Amino acid sequence: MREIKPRGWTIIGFTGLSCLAAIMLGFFLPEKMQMEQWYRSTTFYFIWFNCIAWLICLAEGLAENSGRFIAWVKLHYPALAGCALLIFVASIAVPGEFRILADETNLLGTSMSMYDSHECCNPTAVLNYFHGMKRTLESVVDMRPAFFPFHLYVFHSLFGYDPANGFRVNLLAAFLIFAVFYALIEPELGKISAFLGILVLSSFPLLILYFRSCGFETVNLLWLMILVFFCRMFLQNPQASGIEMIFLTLPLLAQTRYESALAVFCVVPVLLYKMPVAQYNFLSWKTVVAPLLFLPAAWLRIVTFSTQAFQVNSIEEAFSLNLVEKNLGQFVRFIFGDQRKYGMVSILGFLALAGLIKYLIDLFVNFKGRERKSRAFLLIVCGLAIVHLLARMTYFWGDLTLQYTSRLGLVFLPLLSFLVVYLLHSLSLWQNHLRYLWFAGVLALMIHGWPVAGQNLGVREIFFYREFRTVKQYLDRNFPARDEYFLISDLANLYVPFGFSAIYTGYARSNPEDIMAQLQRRTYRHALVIQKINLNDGKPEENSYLGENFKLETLYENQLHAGAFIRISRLSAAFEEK
Amino acid sequence: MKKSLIILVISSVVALGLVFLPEESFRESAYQNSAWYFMFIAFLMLVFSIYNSEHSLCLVESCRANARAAGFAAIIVVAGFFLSPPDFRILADETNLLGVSMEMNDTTRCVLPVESLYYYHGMRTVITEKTEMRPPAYPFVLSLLHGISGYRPANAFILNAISAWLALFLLFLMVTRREGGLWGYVAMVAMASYPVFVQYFTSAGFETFNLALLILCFFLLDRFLETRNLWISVGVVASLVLLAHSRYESITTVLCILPLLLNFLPENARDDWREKLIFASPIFLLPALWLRTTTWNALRFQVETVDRAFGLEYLWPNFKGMVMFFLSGRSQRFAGPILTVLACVGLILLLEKWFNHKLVKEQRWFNAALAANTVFHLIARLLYVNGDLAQPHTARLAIVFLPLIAALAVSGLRRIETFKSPVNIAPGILLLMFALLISCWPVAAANDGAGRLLEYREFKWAREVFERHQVGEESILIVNRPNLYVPFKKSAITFSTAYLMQERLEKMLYNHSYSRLIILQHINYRNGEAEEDLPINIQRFKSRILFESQLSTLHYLRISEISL
Repeated sequence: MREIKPRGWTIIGFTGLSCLAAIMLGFFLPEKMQMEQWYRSTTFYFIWFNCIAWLICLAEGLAENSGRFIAWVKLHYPALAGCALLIFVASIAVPGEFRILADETNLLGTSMSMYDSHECCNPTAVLNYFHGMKRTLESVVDMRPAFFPFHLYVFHSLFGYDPANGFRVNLLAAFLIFAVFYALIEPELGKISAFLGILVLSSFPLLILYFRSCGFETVNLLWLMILVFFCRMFLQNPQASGIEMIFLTLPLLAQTRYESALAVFCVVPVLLYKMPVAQYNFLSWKTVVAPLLFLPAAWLRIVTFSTQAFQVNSIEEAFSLNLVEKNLGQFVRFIFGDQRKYGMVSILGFLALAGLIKYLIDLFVNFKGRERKSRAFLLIVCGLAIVHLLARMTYFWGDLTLQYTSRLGLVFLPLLSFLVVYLLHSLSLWQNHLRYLWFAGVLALMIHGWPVAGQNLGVREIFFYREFRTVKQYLDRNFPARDEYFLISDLANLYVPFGFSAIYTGYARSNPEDIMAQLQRRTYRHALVIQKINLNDGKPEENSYLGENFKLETLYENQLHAGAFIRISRLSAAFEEK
Repeated sequence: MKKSLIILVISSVVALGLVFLPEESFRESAYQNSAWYFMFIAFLMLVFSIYNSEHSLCLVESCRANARAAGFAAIIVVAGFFLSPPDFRILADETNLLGVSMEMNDTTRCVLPVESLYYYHGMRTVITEKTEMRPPAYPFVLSLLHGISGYRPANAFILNAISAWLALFLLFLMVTRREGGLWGYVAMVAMASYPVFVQYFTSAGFETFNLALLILCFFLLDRFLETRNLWISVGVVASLVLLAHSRYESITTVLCILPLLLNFLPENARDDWREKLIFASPIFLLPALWLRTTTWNALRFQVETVDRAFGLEYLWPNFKGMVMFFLSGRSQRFAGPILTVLACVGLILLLEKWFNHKLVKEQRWFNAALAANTVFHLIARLLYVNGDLAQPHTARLAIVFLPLIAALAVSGLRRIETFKSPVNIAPGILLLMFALLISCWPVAAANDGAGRLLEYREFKWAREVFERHQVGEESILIVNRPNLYVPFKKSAITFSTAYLMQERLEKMLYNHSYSRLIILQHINYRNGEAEEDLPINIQRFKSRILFESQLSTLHYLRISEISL
């Protein structure tokens, strides 16, 4: 402790104060309404500032190690080119689609709001008119964190607003995931096995499926891997600049997916313990501000902590230890690819298990021989894996065999791939020519498995996906001029981010005059009503019921599931006048 | 050697035992579930043998060393696609192969989905399926393309373009090795000048793929005889296995090449695992044998009894058809007579060399294998009920002879140079070959052969109408041959199935599972009546005619829609 100088103590003191301020402001002092207001108006700037600080930190690090970085790229460019080729082929094999709804469209909606007004909310009912003007009838704070929409915002800013930017972001993230994974395992296993690792990772159809979706899982995985990578860098060379890079990465990760905030508890204590005391003197303002950067994540949790957000009857149901037994059983089925549609590969599950046993044996045989930094790294990785596993196993929706939730298994895939490659690498050391067999086998698994992603086997049972695809396909074919009409639907939020004017059925039911006025003023030529009709009685479902005030002309009907079909009808002023 | 012979005997006995002892249902099921994996192992063997055969021996190195020729072959293929736009021409062969590749892509099973219903954006219920009589290698490689680039019917054209390129390039390598200079280019242009070659590499059939594999087998055999490299011998076996599964009669090539390969295996190969693998190769022919024994029936050969599929009575008419194809100029314009005559000259000169013992042992055996293979293919065509090459739908059976004709023609032309000319005549000959190509290619552009086929006409009209009326997943097609449409992601059933499902079809319309039925009927000109009755009580639904057009002098096509 004597090694810490007054400047170091000042930074530590201010950091303590900022932690306290963050906890008080984040959880206790403001009212919920106030938090919501702050969240909407400041989150964008929090993330914006965080990103700028992170980039400055990264630039400083790269400037210090530019020679090493360039030499690394020169040495490994074939592997990086291989990653790019894999991503390119995957992008052809699996078309980009919005699969998990309304998650993906809500994230897109938030990015649209960021693009329009730098506000962090999801516009759920909007009327567009006069070529770009917009009347937002309803917007909500989306429960999903804002960092993924911020990525989309950056792409929208650079290339113009386009829903497909989501796919571009995820493809870029996928490439970086492969590159970081390669960089993580290459020092341990060598170039060839590291590239084999990438092939193993890419042979999971689940991963490819979500690389080509518009959800936040891919970006979350990327930032998690970046965090792990920085942790390893820091443990190899424990300096204040390294830990500050991690301090700035953690708030970004915390705002990518809900449970990713928990990484703080796995990473920070270990790193603080491992940092030489003298390095505390070199901490800077970045350490002081880092705790405050978590504020939007805290506000969001408080604001959206409701039964509706978690889709449960009571909030106690959302997380419970009682769920562990059931979820764990399903988790095992998921990991071992019990069914093709889970997007997993059975054989890789078993190889990973064998790899884990081999790794544990090697670990215990040579535990004392291992360097301390290596043990600390192992502790961090295990901590992260356990925290993520617990978050899923105790969660109401933590059954990974469900089509909606299989994507929660994505974070475990790099770990599984590492264990598989560890085993294969050990066997290659024993018999060198087996390496060819591994490459052939993994390519075989890839070709065998990818059609699962290409056929959308993992998401086809989701009703929202079906409804959205059916309606959008119909509208694109038959009503391409989106400024001529508005949609009335119980899922208006699905359509708003695509530039459709859309309002909720409930709003239309309560405000028939407003609806007819829009049509009579010729702001729109017609309204298209999307309803779910019960097959038994031929009547609209409760959420789709529009009331008796409107006369509708049926345009299109298509079955949604065994109990209902979708009906698209037209409501126009001219039709009403008849 | 002794051990290897034991392996050969055991693998042959096991293969024959598994073909003839089990019941047909077992064989069919084994074929359906294992063919993909057999093909995959053979494919990996081929890739690894090429990868491992060192420096100048391997195809990759040949490609690097002859980049110009590779580019030239690619230009010919691209130009061919401009000339003859890719299309599904021979039906239902090409769509059936595509259907099998779709099923392989979805489930790795080797079956043809005949009737299927699609729903909920990609879900599919197979109503009927069958074991397709066409061998599985082509659909398998197509399924690999689907696997890495997503399922698309157009992948069939990509595969055929690659096959055509490979066939041309390998022909170049083999001819250049013997004749040198520009003669490889001359051979490429000579082969490409046959309109039938262009027409079928821009189609989705398996002929070009089969041709590329056949040339690959002989190319690798040639290299093996020169180098006695064990990896190349593995490559020969792997390519033979794939070839044996690429067209029905191609299995005969195994009989021509395998004995030669076993005979020439080097002494130092003893106890090497690759040698054992080669001797165990009969086991890899199981899918082909299972397929032949399960689909050997009159229905599959489209004859009254299976004995009528092959016979000496077809020899004369088929021979006349062959002469017409290769000599008359009616079918292939000038390429037919000119190249055939030149090839005859080349053949005579080759025989002269043979009988004067001017060829080394390896070359003699190589030529003998090639000759035996040609004879087998000739016999297979001459004795086959549908072996008349003058018919538009069977002209493609001639493709397999084209590289040999081109190579022999070049050999004949080359002799002129060595005989008389003090100057290099190859550039001039190359220009003349180009002239020949330009004069013959319009035949391929005219699409004359395929245009005469009724199924092709009907299929082309139907696809145009479906596109115009946006027929997608919400429609069910009721047609005579649903297997044509299922690979294009269209729900399709036969009229007989529709009769059986009448109530269910009506319910599906009422439930909005589907919005409409699209019905393809053939209307007889004489009585104005449809050859197929409507399978649904039309009084309760709206119906309208979407399209009508003449198909033949006897009947016209009517496409109508039935909806609520």
